[in-house]
Amino acid sequence: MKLSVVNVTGNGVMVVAIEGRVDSSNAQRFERVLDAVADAGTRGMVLDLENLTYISSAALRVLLGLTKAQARKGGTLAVCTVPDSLRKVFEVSGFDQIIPVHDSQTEALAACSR
Amino acid sequence: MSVTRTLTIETKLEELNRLTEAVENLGEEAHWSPGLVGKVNLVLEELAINTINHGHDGGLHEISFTFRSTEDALTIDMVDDGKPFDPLTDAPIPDVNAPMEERPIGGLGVFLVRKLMDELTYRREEGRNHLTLVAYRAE
Repeated sequence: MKLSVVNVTGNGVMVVAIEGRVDSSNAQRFERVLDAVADAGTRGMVLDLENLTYISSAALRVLLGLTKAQARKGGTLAVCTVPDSLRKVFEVSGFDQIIPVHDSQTEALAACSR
Repeated sequence: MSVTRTLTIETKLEELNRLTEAVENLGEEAHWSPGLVGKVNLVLEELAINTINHGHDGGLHEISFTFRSTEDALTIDMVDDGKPFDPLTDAPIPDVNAPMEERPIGGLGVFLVRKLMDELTYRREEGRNHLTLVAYRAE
């Protein structure tokens, strides 16, 4: 798993690209890094999942916690470019109803900046 | 083309890597779609973690997997000697349509297993859990 902040907009929305696998073995690290990014004063976060190859329920749990934390401080968490192979997981878990899923970074940023 | 593989892991979390590797190797050999590889990995990880964390009151035990991949479907038999656990009936069903504030964090693992597999059969036999999972190749 590799996480990198790839963009920060003028109004404080951070774009984080996630590559590789997030499973039970690294979900805690995933959570710590994203919490740290969220604490860095962002008012929204976009997770670019284009190069994410695998996500387990341990990772979904982290995303739900993060979404709740963002909501509490008035921010938004959005994801974009979800690979086809992971879409089904988002759909059946109902996560696509909770976390806005966008086709591109631009679209996700526009939604988070509203 | 039909491919059969077996794998036995011990009930400790470090063993999950071997499970993932086996799924990925078989997926490559039998030409599964990336979606199928991801789905099978997720499902087996969830089930194995359940058995590792909750299946026994201590001690090292084994979980065995038999994979049969054909042109139409993948069938996996998972066997362990843990406490009786039927994923079809022994896990609560989360409300996936609940608004975010009401969604509990967690409790999704077994639900995903049920949703992502096309067939699921459980039987308890001679002190062992036998779970048969089927995923169709056509998506």
